[in-house]
Amino acid sequence: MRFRSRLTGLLLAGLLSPLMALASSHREAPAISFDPAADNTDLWAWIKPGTHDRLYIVAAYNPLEEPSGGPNFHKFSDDVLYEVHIVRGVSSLADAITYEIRFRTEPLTRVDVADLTKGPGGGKEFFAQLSGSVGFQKQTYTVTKVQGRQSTVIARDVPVAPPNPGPRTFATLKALGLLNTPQNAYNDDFSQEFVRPMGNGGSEGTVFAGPRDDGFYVDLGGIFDLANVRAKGTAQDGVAGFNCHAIALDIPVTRVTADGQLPTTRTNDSIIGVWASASRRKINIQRQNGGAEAIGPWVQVSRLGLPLVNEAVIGLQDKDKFNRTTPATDVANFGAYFLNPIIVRDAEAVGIYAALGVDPTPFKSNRTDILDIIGLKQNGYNVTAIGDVLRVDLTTDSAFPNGRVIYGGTNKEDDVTDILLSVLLTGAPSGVSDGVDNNDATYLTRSPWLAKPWSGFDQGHGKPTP
Amino acid sequence: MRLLHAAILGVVALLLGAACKPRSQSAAQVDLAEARALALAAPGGDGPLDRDLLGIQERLVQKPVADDWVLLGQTWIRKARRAADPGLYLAADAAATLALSLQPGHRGAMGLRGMVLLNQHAFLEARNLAMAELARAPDDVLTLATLSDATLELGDVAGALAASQRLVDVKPGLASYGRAAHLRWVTGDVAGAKQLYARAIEAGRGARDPEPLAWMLVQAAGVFWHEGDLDGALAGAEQALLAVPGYAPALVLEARCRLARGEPDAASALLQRALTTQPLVETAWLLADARTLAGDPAGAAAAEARVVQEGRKGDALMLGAFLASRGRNLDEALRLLEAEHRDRPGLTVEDAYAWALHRAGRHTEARAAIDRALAHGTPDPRFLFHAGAIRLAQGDRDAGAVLVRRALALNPAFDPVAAAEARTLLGDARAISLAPGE
Repeated sequence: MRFRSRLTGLLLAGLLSPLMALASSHREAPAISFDPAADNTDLWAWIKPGTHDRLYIVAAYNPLEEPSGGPNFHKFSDDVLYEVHIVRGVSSLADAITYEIRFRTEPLTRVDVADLTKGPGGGKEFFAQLSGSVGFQKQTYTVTKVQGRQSTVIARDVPVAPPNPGPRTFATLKALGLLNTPQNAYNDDFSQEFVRPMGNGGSEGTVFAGPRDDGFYVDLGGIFDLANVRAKGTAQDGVAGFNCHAIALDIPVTRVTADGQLPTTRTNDSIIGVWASASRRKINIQRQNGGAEAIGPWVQVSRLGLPLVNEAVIGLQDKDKFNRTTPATDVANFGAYFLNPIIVRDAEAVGIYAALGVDPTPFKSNRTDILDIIGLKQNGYNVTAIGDVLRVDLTTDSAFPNGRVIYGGTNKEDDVTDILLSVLLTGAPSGVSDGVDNNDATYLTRSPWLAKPWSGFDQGHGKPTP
Repeated sequence: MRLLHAAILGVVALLLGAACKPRSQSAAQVDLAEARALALAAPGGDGPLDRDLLGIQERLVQKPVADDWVLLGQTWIRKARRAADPGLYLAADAAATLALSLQPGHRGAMGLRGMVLLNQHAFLEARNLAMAELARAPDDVLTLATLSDATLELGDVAGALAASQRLVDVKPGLASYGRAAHLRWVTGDVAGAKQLYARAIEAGRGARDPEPLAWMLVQAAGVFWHEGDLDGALAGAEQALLAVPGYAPALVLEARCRLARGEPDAASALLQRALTTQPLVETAWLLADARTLAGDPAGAAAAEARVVQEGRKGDALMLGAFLASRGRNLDEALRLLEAEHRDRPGLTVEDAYAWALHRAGRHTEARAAIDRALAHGTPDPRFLFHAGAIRLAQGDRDAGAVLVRRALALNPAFDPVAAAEARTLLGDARAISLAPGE
């Protein structure tokens, strides 16, 4: 065992007996694994400024997706149910509307490798972008809108935007007639070709699904070094240059409200809550002979409403439980984490409060102010159903924590990291910053809002070698 | 730079641990200082997992938090799997100790401890710990996985099914689908096993740590191997090697297929590569067979010496199975396998134990053991061959010949030595069954 040689002799003496007990086998199945295709990374939801007549939602999955991720490019999973949930009013966290998104990938055709008359394509290819009917294996999706007991398919067989391995892939696929586009590069206009209508003539809005720039910006290294925030300039955007897989919805607000009208005055019903999730199927182990009947109902394995809650609020021992439960039971299950944020104690222990000359005591416990803020009390709402949903006031321009906004045409979104850190650590909506104030790409001015995916050819995280 | 940084941190931690020890320190404090040094040891690499380890270690040096110790321990286990270095489980256990010193009964730390016990083959302790933990937290994912694995090793297939069902109900994903798939295969449902492995593999795609995916690909390929589908098995091994270059379990499976195709030299090369990263007894055993078939008796003898050497270090099951298979040192084989059977009477142990008993001429006991191994209909050609041979030895010629034929029909090359032995036995069985009437 190489590990032994790295320890001092002194230490080894004390440890010899447990070492002897170690078996040299290594046949255990893995118990710890990550499931990026079913991992929510971010959620944005806001209404169109001024007119308040469109609701924009961007749900992102697949954390820290490396642009140069060949030969098997990242994709949505055909085995996962992706959902965007909308709750309505101040007193309910039950889904009023659920958008269910299911993906389907065309199977590869088998090709005789020895048949030299066959052109590019099919299962013989090493390069995935030459294997399918659109160059890539074609993946499509269906959007089903669920309201009460009514399920309506509002978009069917919509193509997923392809990955962006680089310019040669684009040019080659176009030359082979596999990419049917007037564009000559993976640009914003090309991306727009994958924004498709939902409902008759787009009556339910539009949808986009595909790889994009990960639009979050945060000093991951600093935050997870016990909130060791750094000044602007030295802070590092830990998400820079990574992609994600995003589902973007652009919905008429009248399709979301109970009465089908645009609310103009603040009432108990003029507020919604948005959250997103991913689920996988239960299976029945004991059922024999592999029939489809062995596949059981969906089990949620990931969810996200407010940013950073799962990452910076919920403790390790409760993360699995958090991911499989719904916002409706958050107060009962996880109320203690919101009322007594652990990050305050961590920040105290590493001397942040001492350095600021601030007494942390009031911020350690009984933080009903946090519940008030996420319930938009400051907007005049008395929300009684508290849970991890992103609340959006339909009567006024959004700004986090009233929604979470992407400011199209700029490199700004609501700086949720700064706001949340400030609220958690000091009770005020500003004052603490992670020193990262901009995204590394400019957001689009329309759906899918997030910038085009970084190119695998020259925008991955590899470095030139000397 | 970062490596150096962590190495220095590790040394500082060691020195601090030593300098701070009061003269009247308790044993527990000594243990904690040692645990700290172990858990904070330099990862000694530059991959993503090493960077993860360094990041968590730096955080912990600044402020020890139970959750971070657990994260560190989980990352050590991922590293142990990736590097095929079971010694690294010690660091994971040390991290669990430190988490528990800060927060007694921390669920994540107890989950880690269960995984370490599994790796140490302390299956009864692992099961007991898991059951105690589940009384507190019935839905803990790691603990359910531990319970499933431990009960299966202890021979309780129904218990493993129940624990895995609970696991998949709570968290469908690679870990639960993979266990479900294996149990489907164990209980004789090959089609179902393949479907569930496909789900497990799909759920493992795209993860930054590709080892769990590679593991599942090899397990799935193993199902194809057992039914003699060499193309299917090779395709799985190839995919696993794409996910984790040089992945030892995939090299071993590829070697099995090459050997079955009559390419002993290629198989030997693959097995030698596998042994450099993961010195498993069964790999050395297969290497001995491959070299024999390649006409290299000296090399085969060296590989057999390696089997005995690695086996005595810590793999009584495979050493016992090897000796029984060769009909050599049967006293030692029986002694080893009796002890294994007492500690963990899982299906693989029942099979190996049955074969050792058979070789020693104790056919009645052998028959009872192999019947227990086959009680769930596991479609493993080795089990079937052993069951058939034992019946033949007992004089049950028809049933014996049927079972041996089934083994060969499933995978005509299931084992280079045993398959040949099976054919010889069938020849004999035919001769014997024809003789009286002629």
